[in-house]
Amino acid sequence: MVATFLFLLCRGDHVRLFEYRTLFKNRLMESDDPYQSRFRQFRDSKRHQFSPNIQLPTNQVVVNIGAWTKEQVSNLAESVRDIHLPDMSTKLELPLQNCSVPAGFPSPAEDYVEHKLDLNSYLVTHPAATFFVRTSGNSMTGAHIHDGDLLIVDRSLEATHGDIVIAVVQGEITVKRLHYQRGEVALVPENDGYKTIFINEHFELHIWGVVTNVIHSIRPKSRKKIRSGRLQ
Amino acid sequence: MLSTVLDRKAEKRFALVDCNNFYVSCERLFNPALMGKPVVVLSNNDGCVVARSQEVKDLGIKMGIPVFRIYELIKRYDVQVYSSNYSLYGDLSGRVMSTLAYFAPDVEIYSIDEAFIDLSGFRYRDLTEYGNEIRQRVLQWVGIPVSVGIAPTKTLAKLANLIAKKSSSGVFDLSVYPSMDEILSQVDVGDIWGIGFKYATWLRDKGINTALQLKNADESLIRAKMGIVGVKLQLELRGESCLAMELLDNPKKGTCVSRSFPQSIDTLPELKEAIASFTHRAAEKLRRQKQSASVITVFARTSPFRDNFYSNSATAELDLSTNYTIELSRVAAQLTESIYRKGQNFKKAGVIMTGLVSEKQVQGNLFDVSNDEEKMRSRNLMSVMDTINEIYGRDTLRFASTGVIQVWKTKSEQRSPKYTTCWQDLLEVS
Repeated sequence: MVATFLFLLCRGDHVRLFEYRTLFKNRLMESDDPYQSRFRQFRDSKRHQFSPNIQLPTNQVVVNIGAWTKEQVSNLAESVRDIHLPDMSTKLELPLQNCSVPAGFPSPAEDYVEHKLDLNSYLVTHPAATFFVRTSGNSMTGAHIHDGDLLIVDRSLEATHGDIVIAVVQGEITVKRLHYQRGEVALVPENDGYKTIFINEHFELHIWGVVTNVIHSIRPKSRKKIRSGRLQ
Repeated sequence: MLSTVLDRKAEKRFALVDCNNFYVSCERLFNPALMGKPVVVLSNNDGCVVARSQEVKDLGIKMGIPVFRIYELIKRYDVQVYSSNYSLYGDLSGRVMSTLAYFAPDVEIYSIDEAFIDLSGFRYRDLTEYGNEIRQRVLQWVGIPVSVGIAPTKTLAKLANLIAKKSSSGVFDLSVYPSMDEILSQVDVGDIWGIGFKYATWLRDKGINTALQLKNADESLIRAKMGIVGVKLQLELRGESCLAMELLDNPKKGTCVSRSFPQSIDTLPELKEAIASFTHRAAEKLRRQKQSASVITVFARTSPFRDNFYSNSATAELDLSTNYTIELSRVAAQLTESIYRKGQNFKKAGVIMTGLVSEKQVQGNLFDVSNDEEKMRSRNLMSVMDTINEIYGRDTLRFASTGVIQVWKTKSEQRSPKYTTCWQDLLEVS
């Protein structure tokens, strides 16, 4: 009984929809960000059309949480996210075709489903040489790398001028943009508040790996969730 | 003409790739500040030294020495001490092995830090150069330094690796070295692969001290003592390959889970808890290998360094082989009761599962009263438990019989983060 309930919640787009509406609305109100005010204008102009059209498969029971208090919902949403805590060590495969068909009648599309999309194959070219690294600090915000982001680092690549690299300087590990031209070597931060590290004969520089991708969560909360979701 | 073709066909080339100071290299990869510093890695329970950096070897600290004997050296030379972090080493080992697979079709993983590669198909290339490529690639891709020994047989490749380790290039091809005998004359007979302490002593008694002497020793003498294994060893030293690549996984014949305790245990409930926990782990292993056990042994012993040494074990044969944790724990608990003695301070215990059969080939029993539905339920329960533990980490879900406080639990105070296998432990860079 409880399991069924949770299962429904897991799948319940309602929960996410609710969150989306309330949280997003609140954020829009608070912020003076030009992008967001532009978005607000856009949204206001389309106020009547702007209701996300999310279809639920007909065989699914809908839990009506419209009458719940905000607290109840956010508690629930949290627990749902916990259940969703993915095991990312395995292959994450998203099927191309995602509509569930009631049992009894075969899907006419079945024969045409050829493969699934694997995020690993998109992001990782050399699995043996690829490492994940977590950033801290703001020295690279200009390169869209923020505090707490996940970096995908490929050690098999040769670093060239302009690459963002994980470098070891005097035993310290750091992420910076590599400047390597006309015999001049430097590690350049992408934030005016930080200083460029010029590499001369007194420094020992070692390139640990080349950053190929940044995974930036646009809901910073979720990162905390994963952290606190660690079960002992 | 034909004979030369055949000769060439018979000629083999093996490379032994061995990671240098593997555990220490793993620690250094994620903590570059350790470069050039003396580093040791300790065994389970932080008991003994199981890996040493070159700096530590130079200090004369021996492999396997209990850490309490070297506290003073650690302090004086600021030796960096780490508990073993097997999740990290296992992951990096897998990366090294899959990088090696780029170089030859056949790779035999010999241990966590060693692999044989069959380079026979590449013997017309400059293998020293090829070895260098391997070394470079593993160093760049995975960040682990390796040494490569190349020779016509596996035994010689092992020896070539010893030389490669000491050379600055890290690669040594024995097959192109002009005087192989000169090298063999410098290798101690105890350093040969497959010669254990017993055989080494016996050989020295017979006046055989070096690899060269063993190579040229009287075959009948060797055969009489060491049997066919010894004869093969001699042939291998002469350059005739007798040991082929072992590429298939042999199904395991037994599985053992044992630990020594950081503090000794003297009560029955605690000992039972520890045994229940080991059984839990062993059953998990069995299920992963899709096997069932038909014999279970429980053993426990006190410290061999104290007076009144006590060691005992008990074995039970199961009516029906199983990998169901509850069933195995029940038997293990009974066995534990039978070997427990009041007043003894147990320092180590474990369970051994033998008589392993494939899960699908469980022999039925006339007096088996459990029905199929019940079996199905227990199987489902175990698979749910295994799945949850796989996703959320070991021991997320476990039996209450394995205890809550677990005073006997392995100590690993200086373990580095699980940089490659745990999202919370990723390397942080700024």
